[in-house]
Amino acid sequence: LRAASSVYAIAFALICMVQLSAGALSHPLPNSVVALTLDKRRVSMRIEVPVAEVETAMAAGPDGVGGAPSKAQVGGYFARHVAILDASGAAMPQTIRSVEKVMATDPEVGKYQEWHITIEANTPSGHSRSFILRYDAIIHQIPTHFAAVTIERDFSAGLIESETPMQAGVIKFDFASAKIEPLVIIAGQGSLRTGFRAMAALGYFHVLHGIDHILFLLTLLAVAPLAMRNGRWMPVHCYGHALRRFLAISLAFTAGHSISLAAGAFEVVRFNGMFVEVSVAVSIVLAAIHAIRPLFFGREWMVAAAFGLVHGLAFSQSLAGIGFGWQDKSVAVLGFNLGVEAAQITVMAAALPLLALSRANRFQPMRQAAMVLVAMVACHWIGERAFGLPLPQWLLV
Amino acid sequence: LFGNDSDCGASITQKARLTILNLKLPVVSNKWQCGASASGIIWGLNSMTKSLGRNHAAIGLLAAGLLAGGGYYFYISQLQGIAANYTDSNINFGAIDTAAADAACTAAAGHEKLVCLTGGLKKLVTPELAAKFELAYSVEDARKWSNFPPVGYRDRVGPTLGEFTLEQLGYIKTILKTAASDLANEGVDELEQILNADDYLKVKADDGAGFSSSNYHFALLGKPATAGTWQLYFGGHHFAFANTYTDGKLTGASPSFRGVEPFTKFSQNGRDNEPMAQEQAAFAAMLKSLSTEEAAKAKLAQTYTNIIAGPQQDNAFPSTREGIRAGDLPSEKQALVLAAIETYVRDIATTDADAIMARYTGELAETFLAFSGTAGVNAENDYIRIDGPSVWIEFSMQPGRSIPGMHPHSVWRDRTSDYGGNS
Repeated sequence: LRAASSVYAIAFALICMVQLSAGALSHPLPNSVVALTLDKRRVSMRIEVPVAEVETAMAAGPDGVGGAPSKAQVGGYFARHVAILDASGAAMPQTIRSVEKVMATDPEVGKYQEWHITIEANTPSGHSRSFILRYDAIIHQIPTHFAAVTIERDFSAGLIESETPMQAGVIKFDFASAKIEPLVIIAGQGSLRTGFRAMAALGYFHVLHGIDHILFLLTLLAVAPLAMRNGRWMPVHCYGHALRRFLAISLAFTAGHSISLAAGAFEVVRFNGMFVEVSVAVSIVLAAIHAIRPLFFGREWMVAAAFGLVHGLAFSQSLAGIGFGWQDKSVAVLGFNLGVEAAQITVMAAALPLLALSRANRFQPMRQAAMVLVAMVACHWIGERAFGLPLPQWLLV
Repeated sequence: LFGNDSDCGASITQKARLTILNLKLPVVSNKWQCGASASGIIWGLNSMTKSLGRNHAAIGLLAAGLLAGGGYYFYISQLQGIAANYTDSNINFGAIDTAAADAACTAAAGHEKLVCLTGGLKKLVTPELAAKFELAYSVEDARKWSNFPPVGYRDRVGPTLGEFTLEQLGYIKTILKTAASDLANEGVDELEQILNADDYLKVKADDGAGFSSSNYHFALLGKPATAGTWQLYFGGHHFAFANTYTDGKLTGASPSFRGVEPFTKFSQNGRDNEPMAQEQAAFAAMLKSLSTEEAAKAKLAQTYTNIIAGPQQDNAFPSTREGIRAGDLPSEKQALVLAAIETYVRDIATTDADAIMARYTGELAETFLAFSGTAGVNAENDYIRIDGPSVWIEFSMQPGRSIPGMHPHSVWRDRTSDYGGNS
C-alpha cells in the first residue's frame, strides 16, 4: 500500500509539473491586432493598437487631432477607418461598443499602453461568415505598421478559446502598389453541434488547467473518509460512510457552480472579478485548514455549495466576455457546464485512491503535510490576486 | 529533521541543508512569502519525519527533490528555447589574432585570397563543423537574415562564431577582412563595433534574447572557387552581410543590414564604439543642405517607424520613386548624396566598392532622395530613403528596444544585384 501511495503521489506531482509548464508567449512587436468573433448575425472586432501609433496617425493624417485624443475621438477615428463589407461592397451598420486604454506587456518591447476598441457590425443572417474587412487605421499614415487579423471565436466552427487563434491574414501597406488591400474573410461551414462540443471541451479543460478549482475539490474530498473524534480527524474503516460524504460534497459543489455559472454568464449578477478570484483562493485555504483540524465537520456539503457559487462565478468570467448573442450563449453555457461536470468526474475518479489511502494509519500526517502545502499555495494566490504581489517562481503558471 | 527555525532572516543554514537534498527552493520575492514558505516546508517535513521515520522521509524527499529539479529544468528549457549553438559568450572580435591566417594566404588577393582562406579554414575544422558551414548555394538560404537577435529570428543558417576555436576564428575574421573594407567605422571595423554592441547589451540588458558576439552566424553558400556562384553569409542581431561571387567576380554586395543599439558612443571590449555615427552624419548633412523648396519636395507625407525593405521583404520596392530627384539638385548637394551612399558601399573591399560607386554615380541623376520626420535624422521616426535605378538605402531612427535612447535600422539593397541578381 505504501508503494501504491508513493506512485500516486509521484503521478500527482507530475500532473502539477505539466500544469506549471504550460505558459505561453505571444506577439513580437507592437503591431495592431484585430481579433474577430463570428456570431450568427454579427461580426465583433476587438482591435488592439499601441497608443503611440494612434497618436501619430491621428495627429499627422487628415484627422488632425494633436496630442492625446479622447475616447470619443479614438472611437470616431476607428469608425472611419474600419468597415465590414458584404460581397457587393456595401458597408454593414456598425457600433462602437467600447474604447479602453490598457497597459500591455510584450516580451520584446516591455510595458506599453494600448487602445482596445470593440466594434460590432450587424450582418444579415449567414453573412457573418464571409465578408470583406476594409481596414486602414494607423497604416494609412504609418505604412510600416501592420494589423494581424485573427478569428478568435467562431461558435459554429467550434472555435471558442484558444491560445493560438486562427490566423485570418495580415493587413499591410503594399509598397509595390502603394495600396492597402482589404482582407477577404471566408470562415468554413459550421454547425451548432460543433460549437456545443467545443464549449464542453472548453469547460473540461478550464477545470483541469485551472488548478485552483481542482485543489478546492480535492481538499474537501480528502476528509470524506474521515470522522471527527475529540476535535481531531480519525479514519473510519467503512466505505459507506466515505462514499456518502464523497457524493454529498461533489453534488453540492456541482449545484452551487451550475447556478452561478449561468447567472454570471448572462450577467444576471454583476461582480468584481478580483473579489471572486480572491474568494476562490480563500475557499482553498479554509478547506485546507479544515482538512488539518476539523472546522465544519458534517457540514462540508454546505461549504461546498456556498463556495461552489463562488467557483461558478469564476467559471462564468470566461463566458461573460465571449461576445455571443443569447441563442449561441445558452448553448455555450450548457456545453461549458457539462464539460465542467465531466472534468469534475475525472478529478473525483483520480481522488478515489484517497479513500483507499485513508485506511493506512500513516496517511494522516501525509494528508496534513499536503494540506499545509495546499494552504501555502492558496495564500500565495491570495497575495497575488488581492494585492498584486509577485508569485514565487515555482508557482508561476 | 530541520529544527523549527522558521525565521528567514537567519535561514542560511536551512537553505544550505535543503539544497543538499536537491530541492529546488522557491525564489522568495518578499518576506511574508519567505516566512510562509519556510515554516510550511519545515512543518511538513517534521510531520513526515515523525510518521515515516528518518530513512523513509529522506528517501521520499530525495525522490521528490529530483522530480522537482527535473521538472524545473524541463520548464526552464521550454521557456528559453534558444538552440544550443548560441553560446551567449563574448568572443571579443577585435582581439582575434589573424596573423596565422594572413601568413597562410599572403600570395593571394581579392577573390583568390577568399578561396585560399576558406580552404584553409576547412582544413582546421572537424568534418562535422565543416558540414555545417559549407552549404549548397541557395537563394532561399540567402534570404534567411534578420535584424532580430536569435530569440526573434531562428532561421539563420550555418554555425555561430561560438562554435569555432580562436585559431579558426582568425580565419573567419580574415575572410571578412578580405571581403569587406578596412576603413575606420566601415567594413570590418563597423562589424566589430556592432558585435561589441551585442556584448554590451548582454551585460546591460540581458533578457534571454541571445545578445552576444558569439551568436553571429557564418556560412558559405556554395563552394568558393574560380568557377561557379557562392555567397559569403554572415549575420546576426543588427547585421547582415551578403557578398555573392560568380566565377571569381563580385556580383552582389546586398542585402546589407546595419543597425546598432546603443547608437551613441559606448565603451566595450577595450575600445570606444560608435559604428553608425558617420552614416547618420552623412544623411543629416545631405538633408540640412536642402533648401526649403527642395526639402518640401523630398518630404514624405507618411510616418515610417521602420525600414520597408527589411528582412524577408525582398520585393517591397515601391513602383514609383518618391521625393526629390538628385539630378535636380546642384552638384555640391549631389556630392552629399554620393557621400551618404558611400557610407554603405564602402563597407565592401575597395576595388569592388569602386566599381559599385561608379555605377551608382552614373545613375545619380535618376536617384531620388526622400525623408520623413526631422532633417536631424536623430529623433524617433526620422526616416530617410535613397532610391535609384539600382541603389536603395533606407535608414530609420527608432526607440531603443533594450535600453533607453534611439537606435537606427538601415539597409542597403540593389534593385538589380541583391543576392547577386539571383533573387
